[in-house]
Amino acid sequence: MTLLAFQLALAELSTSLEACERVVADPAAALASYDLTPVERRRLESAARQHGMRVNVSLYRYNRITTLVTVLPGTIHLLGARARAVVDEFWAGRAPDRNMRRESEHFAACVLRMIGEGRLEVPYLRETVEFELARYQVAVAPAGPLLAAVDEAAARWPEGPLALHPLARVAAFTHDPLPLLAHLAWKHPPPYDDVAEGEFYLLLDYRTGGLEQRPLDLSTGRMLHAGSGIDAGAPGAARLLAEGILVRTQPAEVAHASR
Amino acid sequence: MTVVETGRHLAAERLARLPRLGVSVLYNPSLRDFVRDHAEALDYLAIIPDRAWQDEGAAAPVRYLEAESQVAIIDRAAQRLPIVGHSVGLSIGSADPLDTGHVEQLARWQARYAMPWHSDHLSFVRLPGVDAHTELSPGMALPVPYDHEVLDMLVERVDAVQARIPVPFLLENNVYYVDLPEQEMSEPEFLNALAARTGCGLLLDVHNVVVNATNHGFGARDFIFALDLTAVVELHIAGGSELEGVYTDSHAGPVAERVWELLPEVVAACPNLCAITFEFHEGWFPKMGAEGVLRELRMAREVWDRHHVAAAG
Repeated sequence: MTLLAFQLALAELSTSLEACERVVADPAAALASYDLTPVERRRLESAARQHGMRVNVSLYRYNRITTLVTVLPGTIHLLGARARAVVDEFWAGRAPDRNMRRESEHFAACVLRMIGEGRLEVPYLRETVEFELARYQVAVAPAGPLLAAVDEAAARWPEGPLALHPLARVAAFTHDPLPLLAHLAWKHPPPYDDVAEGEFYLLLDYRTGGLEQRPLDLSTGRMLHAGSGIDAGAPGAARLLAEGILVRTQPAEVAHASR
Repeated sequence: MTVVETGRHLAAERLARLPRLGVSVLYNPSLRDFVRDHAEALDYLAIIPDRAWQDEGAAAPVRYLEAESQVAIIDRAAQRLPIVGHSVGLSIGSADPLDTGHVEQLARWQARYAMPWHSDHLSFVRLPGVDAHTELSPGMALPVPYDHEVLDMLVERVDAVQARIPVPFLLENNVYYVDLPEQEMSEPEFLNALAARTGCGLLLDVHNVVVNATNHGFGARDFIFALDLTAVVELHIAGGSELEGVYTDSHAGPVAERVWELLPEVVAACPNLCAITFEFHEGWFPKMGAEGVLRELRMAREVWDRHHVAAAG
């Protein structure tokens, strides 16, 4: 147990200069929660005083933000100078997760919660974080098993309920997405006066292994944004089913009975 | 001959039978087109398997979600080049039970690409979390203390990895920015003991040695020649940069000059050396370009060829 305690304590110091300062100020109190040998205690006390800990903390921050910049680049760009405070709040409440999807999902949830609470009022932010998260989720979804499941459902339940293909997503926007995404790709500073406001939907289609994006008309966008429970008689549904954007799924009563 | 000497002799014989591959790069996403267009400049392709999948955790119904676009790139490369795995996620130094699920995944990938050997880092990158389903990550590879207790733990783990994956397993020497006092062994003593007791090989990251030597005030050459160089199968060469006034292993572009200075002597002194791998951060590719990468490979190949021609003569 003591080696594990040592590693936990070293990890804490390597991710927080405040933790290092606490150890320097009062080592007994700062390390009291760890079951350490005297040698391990002395090692941690020494480590906390060393300049190299600043490097460890910087590398920790750099490595952790790299995940977010990779998955949610436009979100971080729009946050601008506020990014540090938002990221700090997120990190204070959550240990790092090596799974990039989960780390990004939790960060996106944190941003959306702050928007919902009125603490973040940044133009374009909500639609951008939702779009970028959806884009990543669909890109890393396990295509092989999902495609096999789609084929199986089509064969077993040819009249089953309709749903959006599992390798597709529909992102909702309150600004015209194509010019907005172009500004974000070029890291232009907002505001983007040439981007029209309104209700828009963008289809993210990863069925063929590469991302294809295309704007949807309003009625199609609204229908697909629901994701599931789509009325087979709705205008355009038959065409989307033929295109493979909509797929057949297991009826709810079958799923319920099999539980 | 003692038991340790016998074990070392057998391990060296096993490593001596490995194919002498030559020179290559550690794959990163910026190299997708480079690998396609310049395969003739590569003798093999080193990959980080963990970057081609998402680990959903041991409790997930499907733990490893493989990114098919990444797998397709590796599959294409594997049609032309041997593949060598250099993983980052085993966390063999974590003081919790060995992640056998991760070992199984590495075994699948070793078999899939018939890797002649595979490697990971002598460090820990994850720790158990608040319950059985969560884990903590310090966000970087942290070193283990070079103590007998840690050595015993690692010997068991390396044995377990080698029992499951039927090709040599290499461990890479660490980079560290904080000295831990009162360690029972030096890093070379620890690495030598681990190699002798398990028969594992070493991946000698020459730049890591240069970084540590720069920051902790010892001689890089002295460190390298204190190692049992018969265990060294692969070398990593890279560049670095300053952060907070400290020289770091940032893989910043071209190989560091000090690494080039050391490389000829190191290559000549490693009788079982099979590969020299250039690693750089993908953000540097736009600055270096394909020509910059090719230049580093040419320089490494000159050293490789010089030694192997001399050895053949």
